Amino acid sequence: MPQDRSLSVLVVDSDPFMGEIFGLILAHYDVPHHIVQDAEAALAYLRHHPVAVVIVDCSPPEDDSGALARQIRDGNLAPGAKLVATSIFEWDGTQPEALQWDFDGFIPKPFDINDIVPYLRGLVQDTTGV
Amino acid sequence: MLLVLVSLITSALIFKDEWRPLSFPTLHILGLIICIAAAVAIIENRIVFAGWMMVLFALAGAGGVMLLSRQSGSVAGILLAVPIFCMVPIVAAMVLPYHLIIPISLVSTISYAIVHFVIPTGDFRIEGLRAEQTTVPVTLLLLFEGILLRQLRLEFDARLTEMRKSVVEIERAKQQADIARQQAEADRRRAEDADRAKSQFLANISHELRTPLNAIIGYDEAMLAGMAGRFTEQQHGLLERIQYNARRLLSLINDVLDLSKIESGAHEVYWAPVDPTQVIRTAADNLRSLAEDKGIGLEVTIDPTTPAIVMSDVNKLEQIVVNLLSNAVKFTEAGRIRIRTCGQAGGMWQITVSDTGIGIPPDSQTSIFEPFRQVDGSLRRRHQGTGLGLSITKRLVEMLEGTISVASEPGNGSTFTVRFPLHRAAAASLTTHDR
Repeated sequence: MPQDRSLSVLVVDSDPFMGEIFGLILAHYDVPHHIVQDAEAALAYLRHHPVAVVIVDCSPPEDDSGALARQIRDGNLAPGAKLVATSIFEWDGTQPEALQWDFDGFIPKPFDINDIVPYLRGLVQDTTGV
Repeated sequence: MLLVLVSLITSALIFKDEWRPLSFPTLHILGLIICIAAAVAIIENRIVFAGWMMVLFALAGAGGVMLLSRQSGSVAGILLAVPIFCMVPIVAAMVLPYHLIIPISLVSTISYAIVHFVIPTGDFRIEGLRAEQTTVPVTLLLLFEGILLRQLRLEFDARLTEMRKSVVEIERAKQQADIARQQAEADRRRAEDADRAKSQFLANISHELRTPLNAIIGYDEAMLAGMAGRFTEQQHGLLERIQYNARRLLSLINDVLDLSKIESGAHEVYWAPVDPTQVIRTAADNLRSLAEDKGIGLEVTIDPTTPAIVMSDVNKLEQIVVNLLSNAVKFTEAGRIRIRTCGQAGGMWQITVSDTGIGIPPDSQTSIFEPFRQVDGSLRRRHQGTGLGLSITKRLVEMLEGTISVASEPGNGSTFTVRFPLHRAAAASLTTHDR
């Protein structure tokens, strides 16, 4: 499968196993990606590497993913990038909250691994936003 | 004080040649002194002493009026003295302790008699009546008055005591109410803290349980998708079993956490306009393949009376429909499942899910809505599941202010009916689908 250069992804997930699964999926589709476990590492990476999508794991209620999204937006650290929230909390209002935090999309866990890359491609191609 | 001084000066000027012990100026000054003493006692809140002064004043006044009138040969004083003497026990009854009323009344009687019989009088007579003849009736009058006043005072004191007791009880009740209110407030705060702690615990446990399970599902899916190399057919089959069981476990955890969350009140209802037809069609479409895999037909009927928009919580409504349909698929081996929605009289609308499944015995039709209940509760039961689905469904229906009921016959299937009120905006803009 040819490498998808239009789609480069930064995954921010505190759980290393979920990070690894994202890595397996993205590698399988040959999507350039980088995986970090916290906001600080994410901000450091974004200062030097442009990406098309940032996937941020949200674990409300005590969660700083909203703050990370705002920092990325306010600091213009990923210009033009789509911010995607992902969470295991799919049924209790996480999605509306994620969208309130200025995320462009939402991936509920558990997800079908075959859906992830097509979803991210669709999001990047959709210039009107979510 | 000024009034007293003016009175004294006036008395001295007018009656300067009459300063005898029983003269009017002397009695006048005595009366003024008593008044001053009474006034001072009242100011200093010495009520009993003031009462004594008033009793003394009334006795002196009555005695003085009688003496002066008899010395001057007037009959008016004889008649006027009686009501003044009657005032003595009245004053005593108002201010002094009740056991002094009758003694004071006796003092008053004796004073009246002394004035009549001991102190020399001038020459006067009422035609047809000697002054002494009034003694007996006036004496009796004063005695009866004393007895009556004592009784009245006792009654008054009793009522006052009751009133004070009531006031004390009211005060105590008020204090107890205050304490109860503070206690309730403290309990409410504790309950809120406990609720917060419980919600936090649920959120944490939910995260801690589901995160590793999601990882298991993810790794397994990645291997099934060939992202970690090729597997033999047998290995692939085993990976599929891992996937199936991990998802079952996830479903169980979700159900338990869902129920815990509903029961802790942590589930909020997000009221919004919802198209019920769309919710039902989406849920039916998602479950159609599951039903068809078992060879069961799934029919959707949207009655023309179905409201176009209802006020509801779309996620909860969808979960209700999915739960009912999943339940029908689970317990139906052949035949069909039918979901129907329609409007109802009285501002209601309803969803009906009927199946041709195994049915529910009458004695189990209530308990199926209780947590962890399945009609077949045996360990070797055929139908998998936690038994939480209908319990969660019932609670979700109640959160949306609706009701759920079941009609069933063993062997002939079941019909679950959910009724919801048409709320506010939806009721105001009630239109039906034109299909």
